[in-house]
Amino acid sequence: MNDSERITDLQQVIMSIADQLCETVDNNFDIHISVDTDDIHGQKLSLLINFLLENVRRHNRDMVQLNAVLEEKVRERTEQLDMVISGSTDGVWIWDAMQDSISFSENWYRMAGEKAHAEAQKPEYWMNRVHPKDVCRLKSAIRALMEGSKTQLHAEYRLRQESGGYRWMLCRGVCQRNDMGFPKLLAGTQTDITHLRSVDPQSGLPNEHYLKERIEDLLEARSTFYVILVAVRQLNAITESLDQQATEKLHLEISQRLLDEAHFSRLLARLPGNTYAFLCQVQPGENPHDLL
Amino acid sequence: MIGIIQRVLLDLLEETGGEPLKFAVMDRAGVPHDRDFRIDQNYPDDECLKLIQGAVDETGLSEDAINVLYAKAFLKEARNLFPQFFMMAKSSEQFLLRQATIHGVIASGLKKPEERQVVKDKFSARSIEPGFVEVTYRSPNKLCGLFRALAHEVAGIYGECLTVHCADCMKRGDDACRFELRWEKTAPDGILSSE
Repeated sequence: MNDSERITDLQQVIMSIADQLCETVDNNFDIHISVDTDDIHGQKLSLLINFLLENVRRHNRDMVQLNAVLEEKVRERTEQLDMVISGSTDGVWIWDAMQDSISFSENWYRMAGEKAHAEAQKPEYWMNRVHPKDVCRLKSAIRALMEGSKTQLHAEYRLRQESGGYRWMLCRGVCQRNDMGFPKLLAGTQTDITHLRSVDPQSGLPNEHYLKERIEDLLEARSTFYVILVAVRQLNAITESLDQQATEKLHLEISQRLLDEAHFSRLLARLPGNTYAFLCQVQPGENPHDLL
Repeated sequence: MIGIIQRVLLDLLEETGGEPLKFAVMDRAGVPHDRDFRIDQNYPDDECLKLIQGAVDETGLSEDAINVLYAKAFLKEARNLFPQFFMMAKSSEQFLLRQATIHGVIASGLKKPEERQVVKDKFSARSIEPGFVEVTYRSPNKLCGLFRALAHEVAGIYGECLTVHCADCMKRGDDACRFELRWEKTAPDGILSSE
């Protein structure tokens, strides 16, 4: 073979290899390059390209395997997380900081007394449901988390119910940041703490916090109301001689007797120092003295 | 076995004893005279073993002597064909650590995946510590003597002194050959680039 024939042969080898490599345009690397030449350099070139293709196939296989392992791990973790969430009465919220939208769990909506929405909500959806007196505190806590001055969110607020009332919530959360340090994702839980915050554990009656909130509501509404305080004197002297079971029974008996006297429109609360309070709103036309 | 092995052997025979020696060995192995061994194709193992045995029988040299001559010729051809592999390694230790992978490169030329896998599984190398490499060779062809000769020749190319201890050997009944390669001194830098 003279030089001219050799060059032509090598050109054909290169063209043949290039044509065969066109298959890879569709991400098909499962091909084998073969050349019909006696030229050892042509054979060498095809051999190295086949080595390259094999490495691509191996990396692709590794990626598929790795992906399957990761997907399995994600599935397992999701199942575990779902189990934890479904076993708890807490609501879950996930705030996409880039999209400025929040996804709430079914429990979260249930806590607000609303039907669950599949689509994400704007932050206003949440803030508009928070009691006006608590919304600034919640926003400040979220801002501190976003700015990084706090690593965890911990805020208590009242969440308006669809029926009109409010329930106390404890919100906890953390923030995930991108490579630039900007907030990427905020996520956390919401726990109904109404009972813990508003109920006296010994008697089961509303406590002083609850009474204070109701009084504030009435004052704000410029309503007329009265409060009767009933102090049970020397109760401690009696309970000192009783065991715990008997003491609890005594407290329940006192509460029950007072409740029997309370009209359904009156609120009976237990205050510290063995004191009870009746709160009653005076309706138009009613005389407070008559009610007393 | 990949054609480069037979190709180098036949070229060596022709260079040493001319066509008569080459054809005599080919006759002993039952290989037609016009056979052109390609570096990107696989050929029957027993044919290659017959060619090597034919070379021993025709030349009257020992198998070890044939291995040494063959190793020199193979590395000469390898340096012509793949000079970059030698430039990439700064020492024979680096080269021999990469040798299993290079062997895999040659195997990539084979079309059938199972054939590729057989060739790839023959060698593995790992560094135990600097100056100590363990190479495992597993093949029914039991050409461990050839690997030993090749390892010494590679060290020679880099101007280094290498000892090869065959800790396990298939010829002694082990599952695989396990070579312990130790370097006694480091080579002067750039020995290859000065050539």
